[in-house]
Amino acid sequence: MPTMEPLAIGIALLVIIISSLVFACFCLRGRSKGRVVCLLGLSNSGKTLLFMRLVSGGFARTQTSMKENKANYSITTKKGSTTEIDLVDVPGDERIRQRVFQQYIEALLGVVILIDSVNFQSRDVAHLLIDLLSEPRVNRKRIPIIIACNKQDLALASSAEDIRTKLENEITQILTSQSVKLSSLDQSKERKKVELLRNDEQTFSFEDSPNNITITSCSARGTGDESSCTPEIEDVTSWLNTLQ
Amino acid sequence: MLDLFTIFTKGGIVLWYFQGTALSLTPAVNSLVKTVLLQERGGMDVFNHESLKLQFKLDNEFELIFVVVYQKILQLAYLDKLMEQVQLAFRDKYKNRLTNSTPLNPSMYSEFGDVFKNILFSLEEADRQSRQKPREMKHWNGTKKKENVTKPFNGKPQEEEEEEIGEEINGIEDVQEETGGREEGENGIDATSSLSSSSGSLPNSDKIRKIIASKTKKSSSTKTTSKKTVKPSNGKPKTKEARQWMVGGSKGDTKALDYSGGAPPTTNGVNHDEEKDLSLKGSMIGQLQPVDQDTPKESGGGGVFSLFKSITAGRVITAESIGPVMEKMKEHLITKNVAIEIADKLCSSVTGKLDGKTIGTFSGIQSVVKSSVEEALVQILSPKVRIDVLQDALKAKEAGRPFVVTFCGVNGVGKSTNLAKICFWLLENGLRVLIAACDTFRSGAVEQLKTHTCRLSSLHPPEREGGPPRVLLFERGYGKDAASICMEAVNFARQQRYDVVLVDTAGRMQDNEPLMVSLAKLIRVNSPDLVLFVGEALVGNEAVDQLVKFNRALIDFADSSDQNPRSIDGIVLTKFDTIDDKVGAAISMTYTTGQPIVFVGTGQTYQDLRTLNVQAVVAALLK
Repeated sequence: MPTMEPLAIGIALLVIIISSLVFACFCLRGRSKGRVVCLLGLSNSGKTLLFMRLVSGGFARTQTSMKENKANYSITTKKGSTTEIDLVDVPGDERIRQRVFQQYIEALLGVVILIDSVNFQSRDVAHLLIDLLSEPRVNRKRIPIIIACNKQDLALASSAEDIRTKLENEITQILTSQSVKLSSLDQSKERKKVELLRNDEQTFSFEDSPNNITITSCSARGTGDESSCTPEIEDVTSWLNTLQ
Repeated sequence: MLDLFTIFTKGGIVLWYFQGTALSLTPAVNSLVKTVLLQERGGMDVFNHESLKLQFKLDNEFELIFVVVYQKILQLAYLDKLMEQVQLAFRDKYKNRLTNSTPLNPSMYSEFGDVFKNILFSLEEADRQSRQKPREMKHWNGTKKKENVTKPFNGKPQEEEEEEIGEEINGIEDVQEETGGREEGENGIDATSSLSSSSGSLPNSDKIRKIIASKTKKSSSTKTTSKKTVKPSNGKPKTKEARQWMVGGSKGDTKALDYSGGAPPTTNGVNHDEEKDLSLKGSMIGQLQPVDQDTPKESGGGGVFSLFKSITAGRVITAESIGPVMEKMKEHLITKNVAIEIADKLCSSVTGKLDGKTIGTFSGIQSVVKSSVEEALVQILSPKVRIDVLQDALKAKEAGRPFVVTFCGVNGVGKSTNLAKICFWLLENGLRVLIAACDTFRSGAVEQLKTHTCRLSSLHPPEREGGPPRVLLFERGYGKDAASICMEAVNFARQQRYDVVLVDTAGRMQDNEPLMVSLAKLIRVNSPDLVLFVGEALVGNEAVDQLVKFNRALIDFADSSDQNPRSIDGIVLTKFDTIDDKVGAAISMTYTTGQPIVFVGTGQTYQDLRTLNVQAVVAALLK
């Protein structure tokens, strides 16, 4: 019937428009997912403050996070072009950290690990690093990692070099006690983890890792009182700029 | 008056604060977040931290937390009002800023100080005035006394009252008939007046009693007839048949199962079932497997629908709207053997978390509640501290001291059995273990451990012929002081270079004070590296009581000079294979103590030791 034709065409057009809209939305979502830099670390190591420093530049008091903070951050590459990345501040509480981090792991571009250099809990940090490095995606994609030893403005902070050796020892120790597990209980349903001990002496060192790991010191708070303090986080910002 | 009033986002950024002291109060607020909000204890809204009191309020719509901190000794009556008014004012003032939230910049909120000061000032003023005013006399209507006095008159249910009145009237009518006949001749007297006068008199009340008696007779006669109908229909005398149980075995089996006649196990552990045992060897090397239970597949909830969800405008959840769903969820949790108290607290915490939240049109309230309860359960069960026994033991070994683990719990929960399993696991991983028999009370306790030691040492013989055994029992017989035996055992282990000391204690009820004191003494004197509470998964409401009292006993009976008394470090959940999907005890126990479940016992053999699989337990709970 000729009278039906315009209606049919209209419906067809509508369907096409809707489906293309949906498709476009998917594409957009997919693209925005691609670039995430996570701020990881134990509770009270200064992640949220660093996040604030990077995003807004100002100082803010912080409390223990219950949720992640997320914001856009633009990086400038060497050539001078700018790109937008997502900066995610993952809460340090162990119970939430894993859950939140798993949400972003597929879109990971780089990881900033913050360490409280004053109350340095080597064992917990080592566990965190092992969890991160043995994550298949992190290992396969060779996600770059920067370990920033925060709170250098305080007098009792240990140096980045100290922390590096302590961490390497701790990780070696944990891995040797866990290495038994990897050889014997493979049938378990646990997610596959990556073998981390590679070199001949069976010790862990950051240089041997396939991920490009940088260790640096920083101070997200900086010296001075709350209104006038300026952060010392140049290492972190310049590292962020090296990510493409 | 107030030490601190702070407003921060759930992401942890302080938007605005008012501080009354120079002290840093951040740690107090942090501990509030960590111990109350992150552990689903949000049901209460006051929290004590040292000498401070913290009161908080959640705003779920804008994901804000309002916290006020003040000295414990202060009685501030206007705090509830203050919180409410500040919340409203803050929301009104910054509604637009909060909705397009990132980046949150605290400097944008600095002008809120004046608003806050106004609110605080007006409230303080009102408070002061109300205190200065002489106390008003209470009105009779408002008092409790009135309620009590009027209750007997109004308290009876309506129906009962009517029935009584009806009966009275019946009686009166009867009387009327009688008296009426008499009065006809007398003529002059008003019928009603005689009625009213006679109804109270004795002969008539006799009548009423008669009527009642006849009524009850009637009803009892119907009862007897109804009884008669339930006659035994079968005339034959019924004989009982021996029931055959599914896995009962037959009479002949008793002989095979009777071990009493056999030779007692020798110290070498040469036994007839040794060969069977040997197959166990090597099966438990390394970390423990998680409890095997089906974890459900993640449903792909994303995609098109989540897209629509973000487009469509949402509804706002209120405490009333999710009330019925929450009630149902609570009942469901209780049927899964979660202690009632815990289910209650958990649900009210989740309600507090959801109140004011916006949900998409496409997601039902039920699913929202379910997912947030699930999240809460996962958060409760995930350990907040890592307990890695193997690694700790290795570390202690390096330091040249034995790693001491104490097991405690009520009677018959499987302390010794699971101690043996853990011992087997440690042996498999190359550690040398000393078992200290500190149960000096129950007969057979030492023999039980002796048998286990024999079997274990036959599985793991000494490294070289005639060398020191890899597992040894340290015992001093019965009736001795457990604490001193434990101490001797630890010293012995240090001399003989044993890596781990497993201390088995006598089972005790949590209410038995003398025994709890002795347990506290054992722990105080020896300060073990790990205190494990052994609890069975079968336990219901009792779980909370047990754990709370064990914990309190350890703290109360510790040295008064000790600033940080020991408490339970971890939980061993036993008999997990017997409970099917009623896994609520796991929640009750971890919620009560906040300590992780380190081991799960799942059967009778040495291999049946697992770690907790959080996802599986949560899935079983919500099934």
